[in-house]
Amino acid sequence: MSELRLAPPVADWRRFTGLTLTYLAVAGLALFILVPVYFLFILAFMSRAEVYSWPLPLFPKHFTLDNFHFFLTINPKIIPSIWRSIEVAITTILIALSIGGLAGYSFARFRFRGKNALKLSVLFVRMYPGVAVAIPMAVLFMRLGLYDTPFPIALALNYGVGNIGLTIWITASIFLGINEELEEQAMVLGLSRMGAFFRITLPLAAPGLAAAAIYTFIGAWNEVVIATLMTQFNPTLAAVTYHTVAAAAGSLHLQSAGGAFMAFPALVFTFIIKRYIIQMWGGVRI
Amino acid sequence: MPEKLGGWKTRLASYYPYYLIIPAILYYIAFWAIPAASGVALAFQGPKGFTLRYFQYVLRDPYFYQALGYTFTFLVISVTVEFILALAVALLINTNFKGASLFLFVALIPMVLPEISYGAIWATGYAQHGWVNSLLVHLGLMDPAQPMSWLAYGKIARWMALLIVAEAWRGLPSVMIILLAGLQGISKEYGEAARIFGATGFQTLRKITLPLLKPSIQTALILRAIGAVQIFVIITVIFGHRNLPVLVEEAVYYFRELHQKQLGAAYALIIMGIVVTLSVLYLWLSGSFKGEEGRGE
Repeated sequence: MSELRLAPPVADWRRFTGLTLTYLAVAGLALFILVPVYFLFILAFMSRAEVYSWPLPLFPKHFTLDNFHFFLTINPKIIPSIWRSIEVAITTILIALSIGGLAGYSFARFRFRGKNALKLSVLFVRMYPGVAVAIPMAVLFMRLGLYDTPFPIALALNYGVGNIGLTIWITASIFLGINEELEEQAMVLGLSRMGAFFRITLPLAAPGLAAAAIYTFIGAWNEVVIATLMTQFNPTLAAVTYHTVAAAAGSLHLQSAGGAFMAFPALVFTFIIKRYIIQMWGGVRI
Repeated sequence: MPEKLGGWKTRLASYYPYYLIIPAILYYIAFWAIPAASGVALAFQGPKGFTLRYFQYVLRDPYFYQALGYTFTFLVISVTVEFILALAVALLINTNFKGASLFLFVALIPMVLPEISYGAIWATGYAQHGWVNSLLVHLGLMDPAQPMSWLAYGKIARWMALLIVAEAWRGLPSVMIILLAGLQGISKEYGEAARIFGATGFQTLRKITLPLLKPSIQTALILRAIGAVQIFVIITVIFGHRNLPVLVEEAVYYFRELHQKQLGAAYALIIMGIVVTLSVLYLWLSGSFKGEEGRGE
């Protein structure tokens, strides 16, 4: 009897410690992640007087957009570079979704010779260091007279490579999740395979494809090293912000405004597609 | 006649998978294979044909050895630190708790934030009157009259420590998510069975959980190592150009600042050699070379 009475408290105690430890770990890591982000944003929105007060306030009193205004006007290249970044990102999305999407569909639906070698190549190309392609590609495009053009086509073509691989991976898992029988039934009812794809599969895959597009956008928007190598007078926002922020040691208002401005789209888009990104990192395999 | 047409159509249809991947293959050839190959050519091509002079130059450059040393010191310490901490956190939170999905979004933030934002966070943090010192003052851990000057010039060991903390901020969540995904794939029954047979928690971890988690551990470690070899942006934002030289920085420096394309290419090739070795190791360990030819397994 005494044993029976003793057992539950022990179990409860264990469960309790377990849960407490879980929440402590969660809270610890969440704080470690969020505190720096919090400071980046409050610094960016603080008045100049507050940014250079000591110690910095934990909760700023005066919110202002002055720092962003300062950042956006410090270099005349910045405003045009925003549009250029969007252009490059959209071009990359178009390349990745059309070419990568086709291959992803093929990977998901067919069994064919050389499939494994192809999968391996896709992974290998993804892991290949960016500089080792960007430098020679810049040289090749210099010879063609297409280096550092107002619309940096070379950059978009370079981003296309990595993102095709990523899109193959993502779209293959999307198409795998759509029952092939739906397509087969549509084909039995008289649609061609192409028709079945466009009328049945594509609409079902649309949300996943949109997520893939957004993920590509985030990648292209964020990328610095290749953008630095492949542009000079026509930089993307990431490239010009990088030079601005790296040259502004000690100018907390400028560094934080540049960092926060770059961060907004990435954060908003990530929130929209968080479910898909977690799935992707959670080891969805093709 | 219709039968013949059918045969022709079937034949055509059997090439379907190839039609669909041909654009990707052509794209890879044009914008990856050709540049990658011409990068090799660039590094070995002198005015009079084949030459090793660019590599000889690199090997005589004191910056090269510094860059190599710093890159590898950083790689080893940061990957180890991130892995141990991430494993501890992943083991602790491998239960269903309230707010798990929100927590995962938070863990995604450092992974998707632009490198410039990441650099700006830590550059403003480590500044003498930056947010790290301010936070320490507010917590009563620092005398406001004597703020620590974290970035004092030339304190390389301290810089390395600062870099590893910053990189842990960025890398730890991604390692944790990979390990967590791996842990969730392990059936709870193994652990329960071990407990019934009297194993302690530590024994279960060492003999059951870690061996089963091996594929995820390999993935996380090698992906982080590949990222660490290519560290660059954060260093120049926090410490300035070439104060803590690393390999990618040298490649970019020679190519873009000095317009020495061949030296840039030579550095890029060295980085490529390291990354490709790690990638092949990864693909080999993960069993990708002996994968089945199947329909989306």
